[in-house]
Amino acid sequence: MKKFWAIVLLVFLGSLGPVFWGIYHPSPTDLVMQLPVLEGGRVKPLDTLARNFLLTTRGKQTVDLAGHSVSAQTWTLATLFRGDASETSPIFRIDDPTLLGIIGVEVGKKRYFSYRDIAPFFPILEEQSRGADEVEANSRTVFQRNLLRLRSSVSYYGRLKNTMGLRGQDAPFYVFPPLSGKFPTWLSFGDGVSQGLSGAPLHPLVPDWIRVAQWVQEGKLDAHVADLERTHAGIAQHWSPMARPVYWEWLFNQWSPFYTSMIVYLAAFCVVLLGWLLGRQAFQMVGFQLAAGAFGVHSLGIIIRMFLQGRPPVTNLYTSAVFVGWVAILLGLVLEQRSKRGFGTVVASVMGFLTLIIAHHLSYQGDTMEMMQAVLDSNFWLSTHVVTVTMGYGATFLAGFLAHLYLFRGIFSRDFTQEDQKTLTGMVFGVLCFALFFSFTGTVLGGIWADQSWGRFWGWDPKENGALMIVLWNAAILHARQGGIIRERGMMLMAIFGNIVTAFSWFGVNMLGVGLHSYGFMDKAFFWLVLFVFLEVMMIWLGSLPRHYWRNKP
Amino acid sequence: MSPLVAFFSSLRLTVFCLVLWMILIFIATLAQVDLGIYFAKKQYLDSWWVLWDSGRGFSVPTIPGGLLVGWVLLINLITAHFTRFKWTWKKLGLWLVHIGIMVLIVGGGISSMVSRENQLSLQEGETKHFIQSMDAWELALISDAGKGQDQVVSIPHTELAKKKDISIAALPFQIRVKEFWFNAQLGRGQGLATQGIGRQISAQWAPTNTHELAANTPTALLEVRSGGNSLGTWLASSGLGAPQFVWVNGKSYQLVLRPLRRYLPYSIGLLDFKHEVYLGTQIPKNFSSKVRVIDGAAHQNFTSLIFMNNPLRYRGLTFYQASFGNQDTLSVLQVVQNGVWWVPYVAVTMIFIGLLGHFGMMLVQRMGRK
Repeated sequence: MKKFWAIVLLVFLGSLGPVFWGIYHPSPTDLVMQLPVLEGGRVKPLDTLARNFLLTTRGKQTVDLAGHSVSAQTWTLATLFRGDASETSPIFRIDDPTLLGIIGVEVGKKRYFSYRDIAPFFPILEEQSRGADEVEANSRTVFQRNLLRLRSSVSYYGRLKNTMGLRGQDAPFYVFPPLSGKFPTWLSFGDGVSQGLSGAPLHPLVPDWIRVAQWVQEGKLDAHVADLERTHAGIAQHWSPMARPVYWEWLFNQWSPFYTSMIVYLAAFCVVLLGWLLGRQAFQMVGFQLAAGAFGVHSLGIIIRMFLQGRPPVTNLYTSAVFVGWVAILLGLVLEQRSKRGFGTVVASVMGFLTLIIAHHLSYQGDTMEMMQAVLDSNFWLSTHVVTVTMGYGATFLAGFLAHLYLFRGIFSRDFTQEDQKTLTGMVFGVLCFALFFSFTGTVLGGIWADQSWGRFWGWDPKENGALMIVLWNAAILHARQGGIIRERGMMLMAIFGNIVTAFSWFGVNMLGVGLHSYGFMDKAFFWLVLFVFLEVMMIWLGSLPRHYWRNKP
Repeated sequence: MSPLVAFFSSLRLTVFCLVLWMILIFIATLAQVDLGIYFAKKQYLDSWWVLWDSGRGFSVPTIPGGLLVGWVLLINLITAHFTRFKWTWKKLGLWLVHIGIMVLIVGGGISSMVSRENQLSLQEGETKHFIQSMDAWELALISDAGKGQDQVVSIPHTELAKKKDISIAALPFQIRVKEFWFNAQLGRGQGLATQGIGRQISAQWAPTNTHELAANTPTALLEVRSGGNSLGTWLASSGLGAPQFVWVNGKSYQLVLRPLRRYLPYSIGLLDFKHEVYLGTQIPKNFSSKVRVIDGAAHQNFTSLIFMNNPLRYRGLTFYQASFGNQDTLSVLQVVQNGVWWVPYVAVTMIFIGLLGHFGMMLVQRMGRK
């Protein structure tokens, strides 16, 4: 077993490759992207802004320009400083059939549109948007939501390409950080420059940024690496507490730990599966080590994010997905360590892959480290209530996925031994106990938070109800098992239904659009939720078939 | 064991109730989209049976409601303690858990009966000595009681809704409720009333706003009668601002329909309201209300800052920041009174320790076995 730990190390170091590259060979574009800006109420590297903007409008971190794939960073630089150059870049993805109809494009013909493609339709889009504005956010139609999303993307793009001239609230972001004495607050590009022109004191970074703009316009950025490094030295000197986390965030962006671990989890899953098919023990161990390596990257990713944000691990839907996976994988790997049959690895790696894919898609909604709304702004409750509830989700899902494995092996394979069955049953039972404990504790802590801050323990808010449903369901399974009402298979089927309950609590209630906890309607997510529920119902149906249909005869 | 006891203490019943409760909560959650929290809760959770409105003037009971399931679960738990549960040290954790759950269910029931939610909305610079209901209204008749004091007679809107004659000893007249609407649309026009501002105000029935009860405008058409004679009809509505008076025997009575008030033995004034956002965004960073509490009887006079996750607790009431308005000069505080707020704390502590002990022991045993 020991020799395989090399694989863990390899995965870990391999994932760090881009980080080392970024440290020792930053390109001139990188050096500009490392500069701090304030956007969405948060100080971040320009790099984060560039990535997130394209991710939200286009769903990718690159743009295809005349057959070439251009990075978000290069594209953003051109947009900022050569204004009109990017007006023909196809950066707005439009899937909504009604919206496509307005623009006069057949569905399926074209997906990505440039600013100039859309510009002729601004009057009609604006007119439609005014109608949508009047409708309350929760009652808007899918078209209205897509329309408003497009309008906000287009308007942000418009501000982005005029960054150099825009002042105050109009600017897409702020570039000149406060400096004790003369500059009490962040300034936009336009403000910084016009202050200088009006004879007021000039912010020390104004000349630096103007030079960057010139170099980009002249296409000579490459020749000025030393100058850019001087700018960084100046920032590090004047704003040392801010400079470091911004640089770390830039490195974190290069690293993209969750994306890497997602791929490695998939590999681990395939390796163990292959091992089962070939009947080779060694594959199982390699799979386990791969998953463990990915888990290491995943964990460090969470830790660094916590430091960057100064928050506990779960702050929004995106981080909850990352953390649900993390909990399930941790438990799965512990189970694997004890049973060594590959079950733990398979389920852990499947869940790692799925939850990180969900997280990846949730990241299209914008900055994943957005500032916390006033109601949620409490690190104490975020680190107790939110973390425990999310652990409850993770454990309930793990039990459900282990149950899948039980049914799959029973239905489709002949060599599902009695001992294997006993092992899996023990795992599901243990994980359900864990799930009940954490979902209960988390739900109750939520009640205490509500009592502390709103004076009432329980308010039947949808998110509260969802959490309570998980507790009730887990309790029902354990009691049914205790009373002999269900046996092994019944427990598996109930555990799979637990997946449905948890998915409803996690995502379903956010789609209801009522209550204090709702953070936005997700149309596409609704489709996937329905599909997931459908597949789970099919699984339960399949699992309830009489045993003589199973390949594995009792 | 008698079959009845066996039935009530069975684990099957436990599982059945748990699942049914989960289903009820699921339906109630979905129903909130149309009904709002208040009515969804009333229909599914605070009820013995879930009633299905046939649309023909009668309702059909369908599945058991939250109250019934809660009671059965409680009885199930209690009887199980006497029949199935064994008093052993090993089961101590489970005992704690289940007794804690009983306390939680009972406490939840009591708290839903005794807790009260009210609102206090204050303009900057304004001071009030009462809080008001968000889902109940009153018809107040205010007269001068001498010595600078007012006499207030309050009739709850639920009494008006019965549309009957109301006579009260303290009033030298009767009130005949000719019409009552829980929500109404008011407009300028020919009024139904023969007296007061209601002569120029038209009123008609409007559907109830179930999502926000406080947004409704209860409206009543009242005939005032004295000694068998009608003195005319008045339109009373929470949507009317102008004062209206009834003159009887040379004494004036102000007539106003307003959110039900609860008077406090102290006063609260809003000194300052702040609504901060993160720079360059609309994301709220903080809402805060600086209030001054003056309590003559208790010799208290202090200021307090109420903000998100930090309410003011004073003499059994909790004031928390709920809303704002009027270009950030109006602050709305939610006021909660719940004498049994501590019950869930006791219950969940018991359950938590019980679960920790029980599952912890199981885990240790399992680890030891392998």
